Amino acid sequence: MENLEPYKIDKLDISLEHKGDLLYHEGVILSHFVENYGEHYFYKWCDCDANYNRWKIFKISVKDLFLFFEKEITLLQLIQKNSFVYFMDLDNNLEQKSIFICPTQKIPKDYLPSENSFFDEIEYEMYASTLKDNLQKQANNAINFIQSMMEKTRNMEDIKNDNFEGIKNKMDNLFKSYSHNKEFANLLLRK
Amino acid sequence: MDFEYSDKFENLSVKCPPDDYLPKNMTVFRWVFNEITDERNFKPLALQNPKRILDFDDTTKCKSFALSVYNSEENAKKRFQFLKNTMGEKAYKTLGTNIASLNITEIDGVNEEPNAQTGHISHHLSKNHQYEKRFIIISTL
Repeated sequence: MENLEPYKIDKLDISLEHKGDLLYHEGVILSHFVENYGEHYFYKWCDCDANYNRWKIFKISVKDLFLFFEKEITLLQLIQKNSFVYFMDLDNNLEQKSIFICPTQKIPKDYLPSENSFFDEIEYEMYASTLKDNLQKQANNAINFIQSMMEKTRNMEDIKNDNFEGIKNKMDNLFKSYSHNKEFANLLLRK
Repeated sequence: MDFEYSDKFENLSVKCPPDDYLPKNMTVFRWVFNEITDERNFKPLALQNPKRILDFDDTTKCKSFALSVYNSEENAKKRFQFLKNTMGEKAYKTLGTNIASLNITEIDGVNEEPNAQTGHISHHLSKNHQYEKRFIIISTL
């Protein structure tokens, strides 16, 4: 495997949960993980020797994940948006042997996807489509929430206006009803 | 049918191979390494060390005893090219370097229905398949 010793660190300071595999062929090629606070990460297979598989781990913003699924940006660009990536060597029992933190510009060329590494729904696993749909649903929910809040705000203003109109009408009626006693009407208005 | 690895997957919580996998007579295409006798060529993921996996539920375990084949040479090449775009040159190190072909018969194992778009088929092989003697390399990847 490529020498990453200059970038070796003691441990990975993030806790990641496996959510699903995105690309698979007699084993995982690309997989999706989520950090405690909901940050998205990809594990991409990079290399192996007789004992270990080497995985590249990199962070992805929700916006970039959208753009990737919309084929606006490539997997290569997703990686290059990070200033650094992690590499992890795992054995057959998924025990960590080594962890590295590597500046993105120093990633060995053989560990990078091509410039044509666009998402393709046909080639990716079903999980990718599920993730894409879930992100879309979350985005739609967020948009609906914002629209609903805007609507509520508008309604509140309407209510305010309606109330104002209502109060104004009530006052007019009171004035009419008690026109003979403006003093009473004024008292009511002050309340 | 006696499957090659039935003793290893008979205790899984899922039916393995799945009931909709059927014996068929067809020509299949598989990625292999330079020498057809290379021990990696017909060794399923479950028996590889280290395994290229990150999680292992029983459905994945069952699938890991199957071999991946394609229903055409074109589909086999197209899929490899796509994965190479994602994996880079290291794809040759783990996936293979050549395409080999064989006319499999109903006694060779059971097969999932070919993926309508990629032509991929998971193939659970029967005992005594001797694929290293029967598959023939036909082209390079």
